[in-house]
This record gives sequence, structure tokens and C-alpha cells, in this order.
Amino acid sequence: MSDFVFATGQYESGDWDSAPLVPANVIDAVARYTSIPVAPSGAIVSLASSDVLRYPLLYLTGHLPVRFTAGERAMLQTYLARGGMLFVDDHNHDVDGAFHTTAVEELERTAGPLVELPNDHDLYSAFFEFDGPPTTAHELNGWGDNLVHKQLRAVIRGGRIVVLYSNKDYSSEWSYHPDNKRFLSVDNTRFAVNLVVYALSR
Amino acid sequence: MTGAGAGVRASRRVLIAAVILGSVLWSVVSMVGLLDVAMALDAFIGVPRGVRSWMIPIAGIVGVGTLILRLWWGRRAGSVQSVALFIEHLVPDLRYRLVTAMDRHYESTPLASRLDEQLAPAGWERTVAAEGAKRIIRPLAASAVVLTAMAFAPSGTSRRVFQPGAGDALDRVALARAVDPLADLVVTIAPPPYVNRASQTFENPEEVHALVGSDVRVQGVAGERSVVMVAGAQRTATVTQGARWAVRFPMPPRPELRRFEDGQRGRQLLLVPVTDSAPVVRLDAPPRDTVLPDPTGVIDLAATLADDYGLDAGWFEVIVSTGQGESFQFGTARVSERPLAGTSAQLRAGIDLVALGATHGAFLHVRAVARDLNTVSGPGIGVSETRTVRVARRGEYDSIALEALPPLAADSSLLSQRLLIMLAEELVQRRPELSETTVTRESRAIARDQERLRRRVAEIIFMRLGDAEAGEHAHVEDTPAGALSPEDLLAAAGAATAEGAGEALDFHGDETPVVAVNRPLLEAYNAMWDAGRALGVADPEGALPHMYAALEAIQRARAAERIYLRGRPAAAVIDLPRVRLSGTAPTSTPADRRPGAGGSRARLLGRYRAALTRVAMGAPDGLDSLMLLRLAALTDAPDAVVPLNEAVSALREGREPGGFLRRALAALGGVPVGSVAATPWSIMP
Amino acid sequence: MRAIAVAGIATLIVGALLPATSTRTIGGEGDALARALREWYRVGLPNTAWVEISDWPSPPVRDGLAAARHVGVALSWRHALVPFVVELEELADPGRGSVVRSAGGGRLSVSLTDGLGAGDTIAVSPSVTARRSVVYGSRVAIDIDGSAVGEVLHAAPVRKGVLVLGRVGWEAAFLVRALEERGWDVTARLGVAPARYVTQGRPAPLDTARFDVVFVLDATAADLARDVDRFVVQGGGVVLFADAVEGGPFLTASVARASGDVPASAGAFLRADPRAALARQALVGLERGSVVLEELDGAPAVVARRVGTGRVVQLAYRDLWRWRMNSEEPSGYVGFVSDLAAAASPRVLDAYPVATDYSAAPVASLAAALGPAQLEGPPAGSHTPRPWHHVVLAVVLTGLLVEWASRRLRTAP
Repeated sequence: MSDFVFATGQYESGDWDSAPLVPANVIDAVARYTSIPVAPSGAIVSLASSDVLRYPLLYLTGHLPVRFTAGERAMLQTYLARGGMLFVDDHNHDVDGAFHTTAVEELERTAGPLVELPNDHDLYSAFFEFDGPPTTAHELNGWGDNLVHKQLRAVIRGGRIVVLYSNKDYSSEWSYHPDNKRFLSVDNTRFAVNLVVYALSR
Repeated sequence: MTGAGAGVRASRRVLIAAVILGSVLWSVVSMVGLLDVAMALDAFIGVPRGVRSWMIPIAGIVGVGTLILRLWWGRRAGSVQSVALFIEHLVPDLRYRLVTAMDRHYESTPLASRLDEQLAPAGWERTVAAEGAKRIIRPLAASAVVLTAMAFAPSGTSRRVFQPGAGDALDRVALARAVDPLADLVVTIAPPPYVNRASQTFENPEEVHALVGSDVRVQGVAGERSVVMVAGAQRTATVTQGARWAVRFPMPPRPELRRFEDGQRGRQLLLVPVTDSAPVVRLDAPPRDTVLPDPTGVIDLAATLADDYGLDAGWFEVIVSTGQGESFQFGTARVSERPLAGTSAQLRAGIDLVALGATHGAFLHVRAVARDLNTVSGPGIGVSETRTVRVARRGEYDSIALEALPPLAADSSLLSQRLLIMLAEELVQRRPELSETTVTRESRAIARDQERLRRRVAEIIFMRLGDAEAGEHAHVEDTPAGALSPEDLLAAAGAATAEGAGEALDFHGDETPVVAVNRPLLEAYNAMWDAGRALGVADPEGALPHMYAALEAIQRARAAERIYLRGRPAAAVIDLPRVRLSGTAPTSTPADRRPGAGGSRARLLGRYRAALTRVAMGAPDGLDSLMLLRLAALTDAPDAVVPLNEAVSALREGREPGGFLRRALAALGGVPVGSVAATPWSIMP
Repeated sequence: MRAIAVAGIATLIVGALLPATSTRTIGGEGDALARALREWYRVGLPNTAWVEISDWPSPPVRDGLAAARHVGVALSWRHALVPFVVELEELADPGRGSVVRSAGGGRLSVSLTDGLGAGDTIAVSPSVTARRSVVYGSRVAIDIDGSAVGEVLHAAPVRKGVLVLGRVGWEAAFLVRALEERGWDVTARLGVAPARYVTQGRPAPLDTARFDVVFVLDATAADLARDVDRFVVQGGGVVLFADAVEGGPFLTASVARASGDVPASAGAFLRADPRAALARQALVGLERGSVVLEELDGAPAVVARRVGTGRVVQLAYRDLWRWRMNSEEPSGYVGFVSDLAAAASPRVLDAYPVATDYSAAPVASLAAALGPAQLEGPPAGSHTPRPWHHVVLAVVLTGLLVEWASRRLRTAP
């Protein structure tokens, strides 16, 4: 069986590469707690190329406005229709910021309406138990909108999440070298394991 | 002129008058009579609108024809001889004396005067007048009859004949028949006001296509039973006004089936909404993403907009993003917003970078937006593709900008290749003057700096454990020993990224070669390795050619700026065997996976199949299951609603439901797929 | 006169004494046979009967004739019907419905009516034709031109579940989704960490009463190896994916060993055989009695064999899910995995009940009820209409009367 590869999506309009250590951290978390075969480093794939079809889970983040080109939108629609899943995180954690406003508009145009995900959804008990999306240390750090967002948003098709959207800045939360986890009392990347297990089993 | 002649001429005038009047009256009779017949036919058997619209022109033609014909027949009244002959016919006693008297040959003969004397007492004028009156009275009576008939015709019928138009099915008066309120349905659609189109009327349609939000009015002839409109579970009573019943409602956003029932029978109407699509916008200028060296100047913008029903306004939207690291500032501006009319337009504008507050390192995202007049489901917004205009960072085009990050505190002493070359050249030049130990020490110092630079290049080529983010120093020398051939390097890169080794250099179209190995940087790496080795053994002359080669390779690597010199180095590689299952096991079990693939439609199909099995077995709850499914199908599978409805009513009324049930199965996608031969493995030993 | 009367009486006595060799002939259009049968029950059964069948007799008529034969009436019959047969098979794949097979001696149009009402009409032709249909209910009536001919018993399919055993991953996720889409009832046990599983439904116990097919995706199921082997031997079906035999198969029920990989050919997903674009194992050492169900470039790609009363299907393809992500049309992948499940699962029908009015082949069932049909016509001389007896009797009585009258007249003074 081929390994699970954590892929980062590259889009044209902004800084898609603003969180380069997140893939390593997620891979580390998956390896720590599960026996899922996983590739040791992530892949980067352009949203407009058909290579996205090799990675049914895709991660998108950035600070700058997100505007999909026609090619990127078409490829994303194909990708989601065939069974892919998208995880988008606002690195600004700012509801007034241009990433949030433009990304929500583009996602709703591409995939459908984003609805609030209830906090008892399967995602929050897919591996570890959570009462809802775990709060990050960056949500109240003075930058951004300085709000704790209680829920994530998602596009759901056929009872399955196809797009998961987060305002909680997991990109900053998970942007550290995994070796430094030994300094943390509670591993804050456990939610990433839930995300990956959910994607691989639903 | 003789007296007889005068008399004949007088009679002729009377007869001419009678003929003309009579012809006119007869043409009136024929026209009106034809229309009366048409109205009677329409009242009894109903005449289609196409025929009715020709009735008046045909009646006109018939009337004119009759007039001409009767005038032609009465043309003899113009001739004196004919009139005289006519009078002779009326008064036989004259015995052709009048004709003879009127004959021109005999005009001035004594015979004429003698005849005149004889004819004087014969009073034929009265007879002629009577005859003329008869010729008028008959058509007069006939026209009185037909006009009375027309006057007493029911207003609906006369309206149908005189003003045939859509929707006049309801004007038809049903004679000798009980009024059936559902016999004819007339549907009038008034599109929403913003569309600015006239309303349309349809008679007895099966389905109605109209814009969402149109006003739909359904009318019929009122009878004893009142009509109720059924929409799903909701029943709406119709309003009766005079001889008609009517109900009004807005066009729903999704296809719906409305039933009209009067207690005995029902009729169906399928409402199919047409949605007003959003405008189509194309950004013509700028034609591609660009990078500007300075935040000055004006960027030209141009766009083409089009809509199906009408545009309301259009503008350009510009988002300016500045900042870096954790803090970014955004500004949004609408440029050149103006109201539009019609279904297509062009927009032009120019944006001044200084006025927008763009600085070095800023991003501008530009797109054109159009809004249409749709007031029903909110204005439709159409957007174009977005163009990104980037203002270069200060120093981006500087030839020595090799590092991707701003210099870190620990590495501020990093020297560039060019400076190293200068140092090595100076050492070579001053070598004769210096002692061996000095040369060795200096050469080793240059070698160490060269080593640091090589390691930095290696970080960009490889993906490896990095120290850049946390600010730690590199602890272990992990670079592969020795210079690498391109193949070894590709294999190492491939293993690190789990990609196929053969794809690394595969560029096609505008796909970015993200995992590509930058060949020039690889050459620089190898050259730096050789240079470092030579410097390590205190051989600066031997190192110089390699250092030149490294510098030249770095210059060539500038072309890969987009990936490697913008943004941060690529991500880290995890040591899986060390990390695997080293975390503490979670205390809870993972949640069960709930079934639910394929969505609501597949679930509906499963339920429908189960319901069919129950219906086929004759179970009493089969009908209930179908009715529940019908409600679910309204939202999940609207094209199965009509056959399901028919099947349910067939089951209720005891008719054959099979055809409808199968059609509903087909609509839900339950018809078996594939040809019979497509199960290759159905026969196994 | 007296001579005539004596001759007449003698004929009557002889006629009464002779055995009733008269053979009743029945037959004709419409319900002539039914009327004739009712007549028999009213006046008494003949000793022999000749039956001419020109119209399709309904099952009650057929059974009536068979009953008459059973009580001793010597029945001979001839028919002008075109024989045909209609058979219904329910398939394991819920998406594929039933298959109707038909064949006949001539050309006929046959209508099937199931529990939902009028259904398909099939054209029976001399060669066997098969077509897909959707049939509900337990009995399917066969009509030809509106006259009921018989019924085919349709056993409602009894479908149990499908169990998927493997590791959490793209292969399992896409497989479960596809099977559910197709209508299979899926239970799953997906391993995510040692001794921790994501489950759907209740995977245990693993027996043939609960499951039809088990999909084994990889060695995560090794702890259930004995249960799976037992399941196959008892009649269940197993589908083995490539990773389940990687590094040596752990099930004794496997079909082949894997040795090495065959690389995929690039860009093949859009071709007619999209599976050529998948990487696959080289399968060697096929067990005795194996069958190659699918071949690619001369190498086996899908193989199968019987183990005990069950079946095992083994795939050489790796990462079947890539086909789903790379093809426009989802039905290719969904249909393929469904075919795998159908190939491995046992027949879905219940035990075949025996009923007397089962008639998939009406002419054959007539022959079974009445014995083989005759080719020639009725035996000569069997037409002995009774009415002449009445004539003879009338003549005799008239003669006696005339004689008595003449005597009386002669003797009268």
C-alpha cells in the first residue's frame, strides 16, 4: 500500500508557502500515535495541475488574498467531486483580513456553502476525543481578529466533509520543528491526527 | 320627354336605390350571419383560436363579395330599357306598349305620343315602389335578425370571435353541459419587474417555465365545486370572482408540482423555474500577472461584462496587501464603479499605485465585478479572473541576494561567494610574502566560510533537518560526503520526497517544478565542495577556478528565483523509525464510521427499493412508505416526484401502479446498469 | 315393418353391448378445453380422450387434464404451440438487478407481470437472449397475447453484508464509499493503531450467516486469519487485495503468491482498459484449480479459485483508489469493486421451493403433466357420434307405431 503523503496546495495568487513546517509536524504526529504508513516529508502540488489527484487530502494556507484562476477552480471541482478533501486554514486568523474574505468567497464559489460544523461531529472523536476544535495559542496573541472561534466550517457532501475551513490559525500553532515537542506538556498537534484519520476512513 | 319616359326614369331611380340599399343590407347580413354561425359553432363545439382569428377577415371578404355580387345582379336597374321591361313584367296589362314607347326608334314618331296617351292612366309607379320596398324589407329583416342574435350572444363568445387571444379558453360558454371548473386552465406569467418584459398567457399547459419570482396566476371557469390548489402538504383555496376562479403565487426557486382538485378530479401543473444567471465578466487588461520594480505608475484596467437580462453596475476591485511575518495589512478599493444598462458593457479605468498606498513588497489583486438587476434572489454578482500585480521588494534584483531569509543573528557573518573569491585572490597574490602557516591559516578560514556557504546552498537543494527557524546552529554535519553526481542527488531527493525519481526534472506547460533539483545550484554545490577541499589543503590557486565556476553557477540559478529565492526553504524530513508510536496512546476508542456514502439520493434509492418489495408483496404499509418517500423526493430527487405522485394515486384508486413505479425507479437511478455481458465473472467453476 | 323394427332393436342391443370404444375429442379455441373438462365432470370421464391444444392452456386446465390422466383416462394429445422457456436469475450485485433469459422455438412476445404490475415484455427468439430487468415480488406471471400461461417463481434475493478488513487508508476509504454507493451493506474494521480500530457496524462474529463477502485489504487482518479461512470453507467469499499477500500470504485460502511488481503504464486511465494504469504485482504459483478472471499483458491480474464451498478472488492491482481519483466516470471503479464482491459471493437465492404451478417452460410442463405429445392425428374411426342411436330408436318406434296402427285400422270394422 502506498504511504499517506501530506500535500500542500500551491496556488497562484498569494503566499501558499507561509507555513513550511506544518507538513513535518503533522507527519510526526501521525507517526507518533498511529501505525498509518506515512511519507517522511510532505509534497507540494500546484492546484491547477492534475497531480492533485494523487493526494486525496490537501492543505491550503496563507496570509494574502486567495483568488483561484479558472484552471485552479476547475481542477479543485474535479478533485472534490472524485473524493478529495481540502483543509484550509487562515494564517492571519483575521475575519476582516483578505485571506478569510477571499478564501471563503472562492471556496463557496467552487465547492458550495460553508456551514458551521457542530462540535459533536465525528471529526472530533475520529481518534482523540475533543469537545470541539482545540483552541490555539495564537488566536488571542494580539494579531488578527483576537477572537476565539468556537466552530470550524465545512462543506459537506453525502454526509462527508469535503472542505474543512479553520479560522483558528493551526498553521501558526503547528509551525515549529517536531523535535521541540518534548518541551510541550500537551501535544498540540493531536487534532491533526484526528483530521488525517477522518480523511483516511470516511 | 314623354310622360312615360319620365315615369320610367323615376322608377329607375327608385330601383337603383333599392338595389344599392339591398346589396348593402345583404352584405351586412352575410357578414354578421357568418359571425353568428361562428359564435354558435364555438359555443357548441369550440373553435380553435387560429380559426377564430381568421373569422373577421373572412367575414369582411364574404361581405364585400356579397355586396359586389348583388350589385352585379342588380346592374340592369341602371338601364332604362331593362327597367321598362321590368315594369312590363310587373304590369302585364301594358302589353309591351311601354317598351315600345321607350324604344328610341319610336321616340319622335306619332306612335310615341299615342302610346303616351294610352299609358298615362296606367299607374305602375306604385307597383314599382312596392317592388323596391320588398327588395329592401327582406334584407332589412334579415339584418335585424342577425344583429339581434349578435347582440344577445354571450359576451364571452363574442369576445372570443372578435378578440381572439391567449387565455380566452375561459370565455367559452359551455352549453348543454355542466360546468367543469377544471376543464380549462389558463396560466398567466408576469415576469419580475426588473426584467422589463411583457407577461405571457398559456392555455392548458402541462408545465410552465418562468423566471424565479415571476407572478403566476392560474384561472378557470367557476362551477359548483370549489377548486383547491395542493402544493405538497399545503392546500390553498382559490378565490372566486364572478364567473372565474383564480389563484396567484410566486414562481418557486425549485421545480414543484401543483395539483388543482375540485373534489372529483384533479389536474397537475409542473412549475419549472428558470434562474437568472449571474453576469459573465472577462478581465482584458492587465493580461497576465506582473512584477513591478517600483510602486509608481498607473496600471490600465479593462473588462468586458455581459448578462442575460440586464446589468446594474460594474466596478474593479483592488485588494492591496502589505506586510510580512505575522502582521499584514489589507486595503480594499472599488475603482470606477458606475451604473450600467443593457446586457453588455465595457469598463475602463486606471489605478495609481501611489494613491493606493502600495509600497515595496506589496501585492495587488485586481479583478472586475458586475452586478445584475435580479431583485428576486438577490443581485447576481459575476466576477472575472484575478490578476496579481506584485511590487518587488527592495533589493530583490540585487545580484548577491542568495539567501531566502533575512539574515539571522547567528549568520550575519555569512560571506558571499564574490567576497570569498576576492579573499582567495588576494591570498594568492600575497602568498609569496606570507609564511606557510599564515597562508594555511588564512586558507582554512576561507575554506570554513566556503563551507558555510555550501551548506546554505545545500539547504536549498535538499530537504533536510533545518536549524533556520529556531535559530539553532547546525549540530551534525549531515551532508553527504563528497561531491554528488546529479543522479545520486536525484535519487536522494527522490527518496526524501517519496516522488518517483524520474519526474524531478519534468516540467510541462506552466506547472511549477516544485520538487525539481535546480541544476545550476547543484553545480555550484559541487564546485564549492571542490573549492573547499582545495582551500583546506592550503591551495588557493587550485581553489580559484572552482570558486569562479560556483559564482557563475549561482548567477545562472537566479532563474529559479520564484521557488528558491522567494519564500522560505522547503520543509523538514521526519525520522519515522525513531518517532513511530512514541506518543502516549489515547484513552478513547476512535468513533465509529457511520455509513452514508452517495448522499441522500442513494439512501432514497435504498428506501425506495425496500418499499417496492413491500408493495409487491401486497403489504399494507407499502403505500405509506411510498408517501413518505414522496416527501423526501421533493428535496432530494425532484425529477422522481411526478411518477411517484402518479404511482401513489394509482395505488389509492386501485389502478395499475407498475408503470409509474418503474418510471420513478428509473428517475432515482435504480435501473440496472450495464449490458448483460458485462459481468465477466458471473460463471465460476 | 316388423322386419325393420326387429333389425333396429338388434342394432341397439349390439350397440349397447359393444364396449364403448368411442374416444372423446376435445380441443378448440378459447376456453373450449375448460368447457370440455367441466362437461367431463358433469357427465362422466371418457375412457380415452384425444386433446387438441391450439391455444395456451392455463395452469388450472393443465392440472385438470393431468388429474384426469391420473384417474385412468387414456389421454393422447397434440399441440400447435411454439415452445419457449423463460428464466429469472437474481444477481448478487444490488445495482445489477435480475437477468431474464429466454429462448424459444419460434418468435414470440412474452409479457412478464410481477408484484408491481405489468413489467417487461420480451421477444423470445430461437437463440438464448438475456436482458436486465428489475423484478419485485415472489411470483412473475407469464402472458402471451394476454392469456396467462404460467408463473415463474422468483426467489427474493437474500443479501447479507460485506465486511472490509484492513488499515485506515485511501484504499479502505474509497472501497467502503464505493460499495455503499452501489447498495451493499458494509461493515468494516479498519486498523489505525495497534489494537485500535475504526469500525462500522459489528465486525464480529465473522460467519456466513451475517456476511456474504469479506474484503481483506492488507495484513492488519492477520489476527483474524483463522476466522477468514473458516468463513471461506463454509461457503463465504473473500476478496484479497495485493497488500494482503505482500510478504507472503497469511491466509491458506489465497490463490497465488506475489513476486515483485509490474510498473504501471503512464497515462492509461483514459484508455479503454484503465486498470493498465495501475501498478500491480506479478502473481506466481497459482494454486491448483485456479481460474484467471482477468489478464493484462499476458500476466494474471485477477485470479480466483474455490476453497471448500466458498470462493476466493485475488487482485494483483495496487492502489485501486487511484483509478477512482483519475477517471471522469466513477462507475468504472464502483462497478469493478462491485463485480469483485459479486464474483466472490455465493448465490443469493434461498432454497428453491417446489410448487406445482411453476411453469417457466409451459410446453415442457404440459408434457410433464400429460405425457409426451403425439405427432400424428387422432386414430381413425374414433369418431363415432352418438346421435345415430337416436335415429335408429326413432325409426324403430315409428315402425312399431305404424304396425300397431295399421293393425288397429285393419281390425277395425
